[in-house]
Amino acid sequence: MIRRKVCMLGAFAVGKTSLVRRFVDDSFSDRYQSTVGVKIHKRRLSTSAGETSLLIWDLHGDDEYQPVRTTYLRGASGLFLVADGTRPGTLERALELADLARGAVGEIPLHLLVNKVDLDNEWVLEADQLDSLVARGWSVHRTSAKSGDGVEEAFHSLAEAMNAE
Amino acid sequence: MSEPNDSLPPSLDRLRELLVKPEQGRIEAVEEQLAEPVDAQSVAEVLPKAISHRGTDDEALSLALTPTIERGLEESVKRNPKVLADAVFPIIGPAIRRSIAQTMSEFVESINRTVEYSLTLKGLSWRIEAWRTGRPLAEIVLAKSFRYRVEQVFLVHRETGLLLAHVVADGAPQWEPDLVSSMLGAIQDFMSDSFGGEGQDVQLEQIDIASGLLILSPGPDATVAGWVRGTPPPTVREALVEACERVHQELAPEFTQFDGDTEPFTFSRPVLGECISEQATEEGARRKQQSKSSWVTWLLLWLAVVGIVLILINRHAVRSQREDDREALRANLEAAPGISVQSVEGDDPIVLDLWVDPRAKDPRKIVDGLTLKRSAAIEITTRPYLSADPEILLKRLADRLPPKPDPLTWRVQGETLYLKGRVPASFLALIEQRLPFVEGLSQVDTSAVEVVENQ
Repeated sequence: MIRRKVCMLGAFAVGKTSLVRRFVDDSFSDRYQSTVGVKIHKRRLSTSAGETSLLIWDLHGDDEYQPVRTTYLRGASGLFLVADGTRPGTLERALELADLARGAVGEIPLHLLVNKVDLDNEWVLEADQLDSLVARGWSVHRTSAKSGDGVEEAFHSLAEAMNAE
Repeated sequence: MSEPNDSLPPSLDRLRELLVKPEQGRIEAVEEQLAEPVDAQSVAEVLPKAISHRGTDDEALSLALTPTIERGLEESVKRNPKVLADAVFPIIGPAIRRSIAQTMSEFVESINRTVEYSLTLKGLSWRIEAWRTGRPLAEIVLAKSFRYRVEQVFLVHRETGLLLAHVVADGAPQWEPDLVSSMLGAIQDFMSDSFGGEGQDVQLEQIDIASGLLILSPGPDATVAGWVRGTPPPTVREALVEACERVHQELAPEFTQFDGDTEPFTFSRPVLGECISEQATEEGARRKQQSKSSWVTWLLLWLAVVGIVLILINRHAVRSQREDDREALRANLEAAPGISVQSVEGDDPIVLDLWVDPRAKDPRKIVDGLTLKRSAAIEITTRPYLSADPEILLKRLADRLPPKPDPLTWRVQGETLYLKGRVPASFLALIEQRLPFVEGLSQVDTSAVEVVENQ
């Protein structure tokens, strides 16, 4: 059995917890997130390297009152940066958090999830912006925690990337 | 190379060269060695021997090296405390355990003294037990005090919080061990982040929860955590610490090469399994044992008694019924004229040995006409005989005579045939004629008959 620690980072209310809920089998109660700033979920999936158990650390929403604890990133094999497609500022923050994470844990597989793709009317991110990130080597996934679009694919993609490391 | 001496004639110079040249060469080599800075290789060759020699002579070398070693250690700790901590971890564990054992021993002594003067009923009973069993009083006191169960043991990777291995006691409730392990890692990180200094780990050693206790034994690469219910004795922590040390010792290469594959750590499960233990208080265990044994004993005893009684009752009933059946058979057959019962034996089949007169009823019909209490096969063996039963004697007589006239009645007593009523003279003559041929009858009494002339 392969076990991987995965962290989810992103600005406040981008839908990290909703994305994880879409994906996981087991979780601890929500109250831990407000006490220690992290909530842990588990999901087993089949990858080309074999059965892999993802332990997903959903870090408390990053805001001015509670900055991300980089200590929680220690030992992570992969990261999800989550942004909200309806709030351009969250993408900038995701990219800043990516730099912060790289400083803490070095180069590990890192996927960008641009969430809330179901909200067509409110979507403000330009396709060019995301395309340029892809061109710079980012792995970008458009997801919807509400409809489930792109969620499974994103997690499988990160799992494969981590096992290939 | 020696310089030629100008003041000496060449012949003497030549002589000197012949006499001292080898020694001169060696002196020059020594001079060259001394002129150069100390050769590291030469020193390296002799240094171990030199230190060994010096160390045996006196303490001067130790005294000289102590400040340097102290400064070196201090510098090492300042730079990276983990290196030294990792290095001394296997040594310091047993040392701490010895220290704890010593403390516990003193603690036991203290309890011993406390209880010695205790006049409580419980204290008194413990003293009696100590005297009875020959164990130290303090040991009894401690044994009475502890009641615990180590239900789960986790091996948690320190850096990632990932679960490397997990064992659980039989029948113990289980949580999702992966999540527990990661959450433990998160709490550890949270504590370090909140209360530790820059880059310093705060190591949790114990987490008290109302329902139990999580005892943590941290190692350089992994933490062994034991979930305990009740109040564990120090041996539980010692076992966890020992397990942590053994896991690190035996799986050092696996820790170094750990890349998320936890399969190699399944080998640690037997070691972790040794930490699974439980202990009821002796009193409780005895009570439990007593109550259990007493309950079982009573049940078995009752079952045995009831069983035996039922068997006896049944056997008696069966025996009684068989006896009744045999008696019924005997009585009914004896009552039938011309049948003499010689023996009635056995339960199933019941074997009847009978003497049967040819003029008696068929005994099989008599037997078949009876209803027995217990069904059983009946075997009949018969032997013919001549019965002296009056009814049979009359039948035997009647068989040799024409039909008896109605006004005449007869009866047999002993071997005498008594006649009564009116009898034709010819019929009486016939009786007197045939009587000698009827077995069992020897004479006829005609005193009560009125002989009439043949009609």
